[in-house]
Amino acid sequence: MSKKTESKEESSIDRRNFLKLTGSAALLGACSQVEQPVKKLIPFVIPADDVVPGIATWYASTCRQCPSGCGISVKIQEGQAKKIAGNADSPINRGKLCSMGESALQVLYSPDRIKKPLQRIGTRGMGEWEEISWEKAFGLLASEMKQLQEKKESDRLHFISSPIRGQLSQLISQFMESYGTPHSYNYELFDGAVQKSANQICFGVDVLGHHDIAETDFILSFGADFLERWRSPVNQSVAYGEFRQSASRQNRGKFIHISARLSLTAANADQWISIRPGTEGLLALSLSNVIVNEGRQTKNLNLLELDIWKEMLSEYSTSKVSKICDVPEQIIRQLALEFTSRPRSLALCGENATAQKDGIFHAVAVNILNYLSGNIGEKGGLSFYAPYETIDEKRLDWQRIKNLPHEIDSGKIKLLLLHDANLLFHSPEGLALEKSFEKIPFIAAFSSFLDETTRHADLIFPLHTPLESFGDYVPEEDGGYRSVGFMQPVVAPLYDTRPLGDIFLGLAPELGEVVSDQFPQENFESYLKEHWEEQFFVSGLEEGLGFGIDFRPYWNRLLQQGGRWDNKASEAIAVSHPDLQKISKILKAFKTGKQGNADQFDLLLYPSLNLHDGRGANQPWLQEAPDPMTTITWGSWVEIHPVTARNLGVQEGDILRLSSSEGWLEAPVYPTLGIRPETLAIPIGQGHTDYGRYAKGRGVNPLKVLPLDLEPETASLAWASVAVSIKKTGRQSAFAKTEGVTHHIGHHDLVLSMSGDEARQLKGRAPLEVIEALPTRTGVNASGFLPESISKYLKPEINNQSEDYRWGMVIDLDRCTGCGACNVACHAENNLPTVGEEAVKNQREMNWMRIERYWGHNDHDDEAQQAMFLPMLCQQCGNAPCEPVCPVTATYHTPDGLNAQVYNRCVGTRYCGVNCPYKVRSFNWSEPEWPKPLDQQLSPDLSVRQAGVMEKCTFCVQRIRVAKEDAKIEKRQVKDGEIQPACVQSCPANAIVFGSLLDHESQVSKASRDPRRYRALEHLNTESAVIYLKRIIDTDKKSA
Amino acid sequence: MSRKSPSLSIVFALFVLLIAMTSVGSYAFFSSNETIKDQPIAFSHKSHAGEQKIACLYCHIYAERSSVAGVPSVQKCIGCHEMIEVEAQEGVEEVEKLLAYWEDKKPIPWLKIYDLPDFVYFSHRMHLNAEVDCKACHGEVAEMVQIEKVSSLSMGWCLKCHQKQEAPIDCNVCHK
Repeated sequence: MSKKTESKEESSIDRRNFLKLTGSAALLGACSQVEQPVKKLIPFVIPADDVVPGIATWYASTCRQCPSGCGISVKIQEGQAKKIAGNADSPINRGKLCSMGESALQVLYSPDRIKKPLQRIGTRGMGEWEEISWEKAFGLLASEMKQLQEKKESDRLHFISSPIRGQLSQLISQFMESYGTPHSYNYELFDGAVQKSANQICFGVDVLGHHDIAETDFILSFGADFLERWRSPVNQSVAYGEFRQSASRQNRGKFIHISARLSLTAANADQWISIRPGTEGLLALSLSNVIVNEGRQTKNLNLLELDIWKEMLSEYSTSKVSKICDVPEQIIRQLALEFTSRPRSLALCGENATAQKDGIFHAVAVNILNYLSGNIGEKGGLSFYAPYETIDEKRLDWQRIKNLPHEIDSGKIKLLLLHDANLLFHSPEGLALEKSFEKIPFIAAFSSFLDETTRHADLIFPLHTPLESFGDYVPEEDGGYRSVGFMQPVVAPLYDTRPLGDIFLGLAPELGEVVSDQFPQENFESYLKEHWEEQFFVSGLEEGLGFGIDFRPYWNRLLQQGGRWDNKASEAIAVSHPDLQKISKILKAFKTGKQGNADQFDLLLYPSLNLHDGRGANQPWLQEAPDPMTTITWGSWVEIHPVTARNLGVQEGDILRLSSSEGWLEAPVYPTLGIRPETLAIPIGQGHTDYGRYAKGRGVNPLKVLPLDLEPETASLAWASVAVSIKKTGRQSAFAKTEGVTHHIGHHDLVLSMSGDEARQLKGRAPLEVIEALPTRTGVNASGFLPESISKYLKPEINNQSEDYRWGMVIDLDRCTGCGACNVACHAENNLPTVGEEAVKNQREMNWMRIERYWGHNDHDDEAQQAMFLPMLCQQCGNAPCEPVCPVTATYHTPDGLNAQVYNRCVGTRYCGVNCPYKVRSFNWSEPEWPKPLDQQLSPDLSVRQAGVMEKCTFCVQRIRVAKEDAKIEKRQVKDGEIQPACVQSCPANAIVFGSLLDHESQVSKASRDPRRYRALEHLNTESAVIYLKRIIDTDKKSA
Repeated sequence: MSRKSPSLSIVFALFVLLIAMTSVGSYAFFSSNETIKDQPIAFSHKSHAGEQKIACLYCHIYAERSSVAGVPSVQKCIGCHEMIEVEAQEGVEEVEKLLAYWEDKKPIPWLKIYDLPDFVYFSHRMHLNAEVDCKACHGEVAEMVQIEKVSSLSMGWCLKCHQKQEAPIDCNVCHK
């Protein structure tokens, strides 16, 4: 210390002092320019009981970003919502969350919300509005409704809503019934109706069914993208993690995916089998054929029934099916043998197959395969559970939608009420629904956003978002836990909006006693409470509480824990015998054959991982979250096989025009080996003509070019594929994508995998090798990774400090699905801005945590269609290349092993970023923007960085800080698992473990000693604190 | 460290001084002990903390458990003032102001005297836990008629104490 002062006194100017002085000069200069605002301290008038300023409060709620119904906790600081995390108690998502769930705050704080009731002033659909008062809005709608009532035309009111699945739907159907209209519907594009119908036919149950992924040994997925948007993705991903690597299981589960397109889910499979689209069911039946003919079927089948099946399946010989499906005969046999030789197996049927004209055939075929293999109702198989409550919602099927123009023309719809059902975005051009809507005398919409459908309304009632409302939600599928998720307002309403229930209760008094008598409640909250008070007596008895006990504590508990659910799964519903006649009819009705002409391509449509059916498109986090397979952000693309592309003479970014019988669309191509040569694929979700600043005018909406083909059994839209012819446009556009190179060049130690056989050999080793934990800061080898490696960069004064922790992370690539939830969670936690399409094109995206996708898993496998995912974040090197090059010591090594970044010290030389071999530092090229009120989400726990600052992952140091402080006050060490960085917290497959490597008993230390461990670019001797566990790719056929 | 041209450093120092002088007005804002005169109510810590001997934590209730100490709610003020005899308070202009805020159920917009930049993390809780006296940073509040800033809150000022007390001086402890 004394030495330093001496050198100052010598008043020499070295570089350090020069910078210091110029820095202070600049600061003083700046001071004279800017007048400092005097800040205010605003006290509470009356303090809230549960609010301590500076300390976050977490409120439980239920995610309504998709129909899964995951439990969430919302972090509230000073009245603002800062972060959403999964609710650890919820049986649906077990504390985990997907990218869409993480992003729900951008719905609440969207700058494009409707803030007041709106009345149309221009022509319909032009988007010219006048803000009106709630009284006026109520008056207008009530008078329209009264007019119908008086003319005895109440049934000409139609109400179309997204599925509500709670007491609110009860209220609405009660309202509609008393008003006198039977036309109250709910609408969802991806609704699983076909699967339910197939379950009814095969097992006599009208529910979706729960696939016990966690406990099964072998998954055969017929196009079921269960790690993406299919069904309940977080629930399935949690199970998938257990399926792959779990301490409680003997063997790692094996997973084979069969589809025409290499989806993210397919990329996670041990093997992807490419199949001609629309033939999935045939393959399933062919497997069944092999199974019954070789006597491998379940023992529960009697001989009589076996004979019937044998006959029914005789048509599906491997030789015949092999040709149609384009899958080698020997693979079909192998699959059949493997499927039945494992103790537990499970076949899934995805929407690629069920959302076809003959969807029911595929769903039934896969059901048969499960049935004949004895998987129904078994552990690790397919079971059916009844939800806690039956929700009485009438589904708006596509036959009805198809008839809408006719009904409108014939005057059967005089008043249309819309709630969050974006029909005009989903409906194919051919239906011309927009034109028909113009003829409806009056349309009122209840919505938070001006989407394509709401835009056509005459009157708009702005709604609370789910995070501002009371409500309950009965998930369709919860694995038998009979769960109901609860919603409560976590923040005060931002605008002059109301909850939907209150709007109906407000309308009721205007509509005469018939309606108003039904609703004595003053608001929806009391309506909800009344219902649950009744329920309380039922479940109170169940839980042994008895009568006469106060309801209030029960109610508070419902809100506090975010709902109610059983502690263990209930008994599965007993299934009935397959309806053989019906099945036989369905099987016979199936006709193979290509859609369209011979020179046409099959264009496959699939739900976008981040945007779902388009509902996520106005959330900038989701727009900028890279698609895992292509790494493209902010736009649409067409996947094309490289050979097809070469034959056509197109390259990446060339725009193709795809024409179907109904219309055309234009999108740039992305060549990928993950698609069949005669097939193209395009994601659903972009192409909004409205909805908000982030969604509008971006990409294309492939749903528009679909023909109106329906699956006859359920009247579902066959949205999964369409025959198109292609034409070059000669135009080009560059993708805003985050991938640099597609293959890892030359490095054998970036993303590693091992074969199933290699992995099985590891079994023999002692599970915990006796090696010392990673070095703290000394860099002296104690890790067992490298021989002596003492850094020349080490700064002794830091390294000599004693410290209790060395933070580290283990990422299990065998669990990691590459879904990118961590990326969005990181944005939400760490005040990361989105930079927009143009900036991403210039590689200026701000990702502290990104998923890298590489092709091929070893050097001999260059043209393999094996995609490998590598979550890449700051490796918190013990021997960090970034640290010694910072001229202002803005980045330095903390005593507990982090590469910290002091943002206010950073001058933006970017030397550190250049020197970082992992490229995990992000530079703010421009001033980040958060249009109000998006800025309310910004966390006060860490700085909001400005332009010109280098920023990076710090393992969520703000969370580490709080835990260390708590520990210090309680005079103890930080407990293992007490700190969860945002990525760890959200990771649906539980792929990431975090903790102190110095604690040999910690989860992370144990995991770091797994024999599959390696460190990325280990040869650089960075002594990183992130340890990866090799992915296992089990293609060994003998392994069964 | 090798000795470099001293004349250069003098020129440089003069340059810095020049800039410093041009901006001396606003510089004062950061360093002076100036009292902000226009608080909405001329609240006297001297009378509350001094004469009435009300403990700091009675009003700044969050200091022990949170990073922020908290300003008392209007309800808290009224809680006491309600109990004081009406005559004793009648005509006292500042109390009338308080009652008016309470009547309107409006918060009192106090001006912030101690403010830290956004990139700094500071925790009252940890300092109280380490038994740092409030006075160490806020001065003899009990003698101040109107609160004034007695510490610069500069990084050097913080570090001086941290070093003396052997508190952590790792950047990350305070910089966020």
